[in-house]
Amino acid sequence: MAMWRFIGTVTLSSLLLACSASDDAGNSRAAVNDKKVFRYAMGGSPTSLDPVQSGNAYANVIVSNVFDTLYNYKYLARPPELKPGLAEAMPEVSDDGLVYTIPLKQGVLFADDPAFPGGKGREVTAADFVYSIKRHFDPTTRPQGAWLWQDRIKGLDEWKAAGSDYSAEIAGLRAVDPYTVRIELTRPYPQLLYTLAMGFSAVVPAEAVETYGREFGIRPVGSGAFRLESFNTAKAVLLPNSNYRDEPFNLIEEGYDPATQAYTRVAELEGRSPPFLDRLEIDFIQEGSALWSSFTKGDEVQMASLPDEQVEFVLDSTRPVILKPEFAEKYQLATGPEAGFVYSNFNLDFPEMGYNPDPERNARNKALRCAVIRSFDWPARNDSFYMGLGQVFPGVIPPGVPEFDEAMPRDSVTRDVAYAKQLLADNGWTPDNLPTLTYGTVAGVKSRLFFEQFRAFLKDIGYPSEKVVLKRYATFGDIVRAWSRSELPFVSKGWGLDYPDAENTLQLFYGPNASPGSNDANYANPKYDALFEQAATMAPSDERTAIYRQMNQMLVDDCVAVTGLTRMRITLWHNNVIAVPDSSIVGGGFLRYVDVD
Amino acid sequence: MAAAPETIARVAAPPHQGLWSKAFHKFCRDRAGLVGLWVVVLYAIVALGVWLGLWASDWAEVTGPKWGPVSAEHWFGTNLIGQDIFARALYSTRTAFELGLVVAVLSTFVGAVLGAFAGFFSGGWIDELVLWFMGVIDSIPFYLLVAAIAFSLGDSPYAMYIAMIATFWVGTSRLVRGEVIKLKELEFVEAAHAIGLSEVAIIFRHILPNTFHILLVQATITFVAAIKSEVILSFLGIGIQDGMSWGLMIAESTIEVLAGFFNNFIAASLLMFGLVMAFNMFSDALQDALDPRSVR
Amino acid sequence: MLEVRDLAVEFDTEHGRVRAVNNVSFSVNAGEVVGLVGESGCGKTVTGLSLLGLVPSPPGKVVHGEILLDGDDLLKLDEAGMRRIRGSEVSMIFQEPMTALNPVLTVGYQMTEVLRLHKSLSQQQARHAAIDMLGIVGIPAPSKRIDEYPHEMSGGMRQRVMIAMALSCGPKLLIADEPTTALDVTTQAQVLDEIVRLQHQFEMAVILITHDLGVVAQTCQRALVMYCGQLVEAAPINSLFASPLHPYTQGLIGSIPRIREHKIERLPVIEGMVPDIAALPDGCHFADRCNRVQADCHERSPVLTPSADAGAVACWHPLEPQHD
Repeated sequence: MAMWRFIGTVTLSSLLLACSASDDAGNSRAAVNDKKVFRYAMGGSPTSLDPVQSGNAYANVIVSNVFDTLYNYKYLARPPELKPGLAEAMPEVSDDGLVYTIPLKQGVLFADDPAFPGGKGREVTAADFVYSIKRHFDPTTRPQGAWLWQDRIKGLDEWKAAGSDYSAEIAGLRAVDPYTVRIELTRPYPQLLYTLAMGFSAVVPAEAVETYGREFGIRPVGSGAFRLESFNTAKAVLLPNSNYRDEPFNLIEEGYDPATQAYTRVAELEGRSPPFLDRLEIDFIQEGSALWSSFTKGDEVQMASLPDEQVEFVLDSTRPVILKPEFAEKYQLATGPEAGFVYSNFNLDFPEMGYNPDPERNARNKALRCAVIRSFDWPARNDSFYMGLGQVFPGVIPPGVPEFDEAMPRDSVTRDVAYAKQLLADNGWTPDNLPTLTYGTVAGVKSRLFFEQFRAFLKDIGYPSEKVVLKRYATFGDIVRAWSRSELPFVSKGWGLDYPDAENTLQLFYGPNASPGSNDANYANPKYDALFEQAATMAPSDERTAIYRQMNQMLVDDCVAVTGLTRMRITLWHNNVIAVPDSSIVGGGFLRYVDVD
Repeated sequence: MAAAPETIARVAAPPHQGLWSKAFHKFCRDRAGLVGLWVVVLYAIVALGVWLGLWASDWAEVTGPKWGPVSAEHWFGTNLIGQDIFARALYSTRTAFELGLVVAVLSTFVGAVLGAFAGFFSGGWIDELVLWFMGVIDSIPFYLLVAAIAFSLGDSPYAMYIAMIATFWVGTSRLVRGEVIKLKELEFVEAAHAIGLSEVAIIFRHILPNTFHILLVQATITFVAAIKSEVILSFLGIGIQDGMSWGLMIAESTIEVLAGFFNNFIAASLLMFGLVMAFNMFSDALQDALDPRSVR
Repeated sequence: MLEVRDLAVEFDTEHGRVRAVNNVSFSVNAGEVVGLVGESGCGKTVTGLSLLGLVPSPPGKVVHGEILLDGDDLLKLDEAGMRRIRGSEVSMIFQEPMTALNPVLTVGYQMTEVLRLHKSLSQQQARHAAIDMLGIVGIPAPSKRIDEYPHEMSGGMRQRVMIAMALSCGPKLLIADEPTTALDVTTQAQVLDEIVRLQHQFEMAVILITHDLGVVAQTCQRALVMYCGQLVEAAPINSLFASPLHPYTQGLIGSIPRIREHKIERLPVIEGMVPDIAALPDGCHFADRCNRVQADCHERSPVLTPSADAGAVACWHPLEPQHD
């Protein structure tokens, strides 16, 4: 399962967390005087730092800094582009797209750790990569990333079925020699390279895993730019990995764009080898006002996303985004769309509004769904909750992926109360016979207002308010369970992109992914599924993009979801920090390039 | 109040007053108490009006812009999604009364019955059991208890009611128990035995009526406590679920005050302050008027 | 009609188990008024309560004995059976009319309660019966006063209400525990007269528990004298006053003020203290205070022995019967 991002709520635990986070601040400041210290903040804490369990977006930020992946995203390129990481070069791909040969850099060392003989980090080899992927197919590690490679690499699933014996070879996943990895696919999988840039595929040393066992999740050992010094529920402290490979910073290779990035002074880094910091601290602060107060203190957090509730207080204008003068003289700012979007979908398993064996009712249900979609006032939603900064788009291909279609008709995100009413009337829907719509949400102030606004939208098209019912779940985990068990007729959520390819969002409606899979809409359209399977093996091309857009249009035509909006991320940082934060793809890869004066 | 002819008869006869009419007259001389009572009555009328759908029925509708200012149409402005804050504050009065009444009546009832039984059989196993139960409830932090009950009831909307009743009866019960221990030594209890009444009949017909003054005061105190607790519980997200309340409004204001918008906070706080204050004044006056030392 | 045999009641106290009523036997005939006399703490009230099964338990307990009402042993009845007896067959009135009525309930409520409990009457019938009863006990304007609260009435009035309640179901036996002690002297006489009058009218037996021999002389046909939980003398009124047999009875009679005998300046009192009931001396409990004490009194407990004049006395060295 991919990374869920959840709209934050004020909870008791977050208050506690905020308190303990700021308590901690004093010690570290005193300890490090002339060193280059950078303090970053995130809205939540990781549960485990073991790459096989890095499904949580916050875990991914730390994993991508402590561990290395074969490929990384270029620091400055927008939209995102891959570059070699542990790999020496981009892979050699066979003509049929099934065999990938990947050369590895030589002389790359793991960080020093007592788990190695003599405490000295040894060289990273192709066998380590093979071992790391195998771990996702070993149930004892409680892996979360197997879906990325399941059914796609020759012999891998059989290896798992045979009991996950690490000494056994896998035909499609081999270390040809210490510096060459060969992957053989069962069918073409153009997204494979993206998966090799995700935290899930990070390379771990078997010695450390065996030495620390379950504790590996809090004592990670890798070959990344940093090594973990300490970690608890309030913060993580990372120190530079002294064994990190020497790779001088090259503006051109990283995709520098002077027009938009000069102000960040990132050009000053040219020729120097990252990491540039002596100490990287990451605070986990859920509560917006606690985060903001830490950020503005001056000697605490130096970079953070601007909490929504602070936007009006901090910004002079939102279009374009401009800081108020008193903040502009102290802080730098970057904006960009998030890697993902928020949307709601119907669960078509429910015959009240979804698929119905009675063809006539089936048609009426579709009309009802379309009416609900057309009742939704996206500009109002955007204005109320996203300061009007969000980008509303039709369908499920968000602006964050290259296949996004600016020209797509916007009917499905344009409110038309008269049309919706007419649609209901034409199909025999009256306030008396409309079904009850149960809206599930996690307890929280904002979630509640989301619901109330949705209910008010529906009232405008004649949907009685008492038929729009709130069902509250205590925790995010509870509601995720309800989704996967197909217990809710209407699902409101956000999706975070795993990689910049629309395949990652279109799979949300792919038939075989039905509950308990990611297709919690339980959309079942053979034509859609056939197109999905066809596109899945295609390399990026105009032809594939056309198929994606055709599928996107199907979803819009079938009135499956109320979608969607990509939120704007505003990141602020102190003037003495040299950085270009990246919000367009999950991960914290940029942290290794951060420098402070 | 109801028996006007009787009042006339009493004026003619030598002046004698019942316990309650004595307390009533004493209460009527208490300025603050009267003001409190009238304010509470005013709130009750507001709540009743909401209940009957006379006003604030549009509390859930979007009727204005985001964070609209105070205007003739929106007395307290509009909230994040354009709902009328004044309508929501009024609607919350009904929520507060529903909660206050239900919790006050039920927890007073439970407290009275358990306290009376414990006191009547003091030293016996019933007493031991009730005391143990009180000790257990006292030792669990209130908010933890609510969270635990909410969790065990699968997030039922009644979790908060149940938790409050389960907690608030204890105070009433302790007072009633103490009073009953005193009362049961009085001769009228022995006399009630001597005419052949059963123990249960004696507890309900002869002893509990003698604790009504305590119960009345306790009920008003519990009412206020329930309203105040609701605000904290709703703020923490374990309170009111469907509907609107002052607590939810104040919770809502947490995402607004940093942006300089205080209307939710002010509206909910003002209305709650008014009711709590009035109820406290009423409760104090009631306590004075019913104080047995001044009545007997 | 009532026969008490060998009744013993014990209490658990901090000082151990205490026998408050020790092997008491007596009988009461129908229509008879019997006085139960003694100093406070002698066990007379406990004896009265045990007749109704009202000994507070714990800490009290009837250890043994029989209480036969028309031949049925009340001690063998269960709680429900006992409740049927209370207020209907046997009633009781209490010392404090101020507190024996429930202050928050009207007189009418309390009276109809007992009537409806024991007789199958409707609310209306019960109310009429209660008004009649209030009239009978001499309360003026009963149909108006029935709706009053106890605190609106005077002490004597309240005691009349108590009597009315006690008599409303026509009991065979009325136990009156110090019914006049809390009243002022004039009211005392009125209430006593009332009890006597009603006793005739209802033809019931009365046990009058009191510490006041004067009241006994005025009202009773027979008297039972208790001391430290034991019955020490039983005798018809006339012979008791004319010729007490027990030295304790003699002392009690001697301490009644007699206004007509001017020559007495100081009332005679019984010397010494009532012994601690938790640590009673061996032998006769009265021995330490007795002016006729002899050596054997400290060794053996005297038993109640019938004497002449239908009386009985528990004393090794009783006074000589005097004959006019």
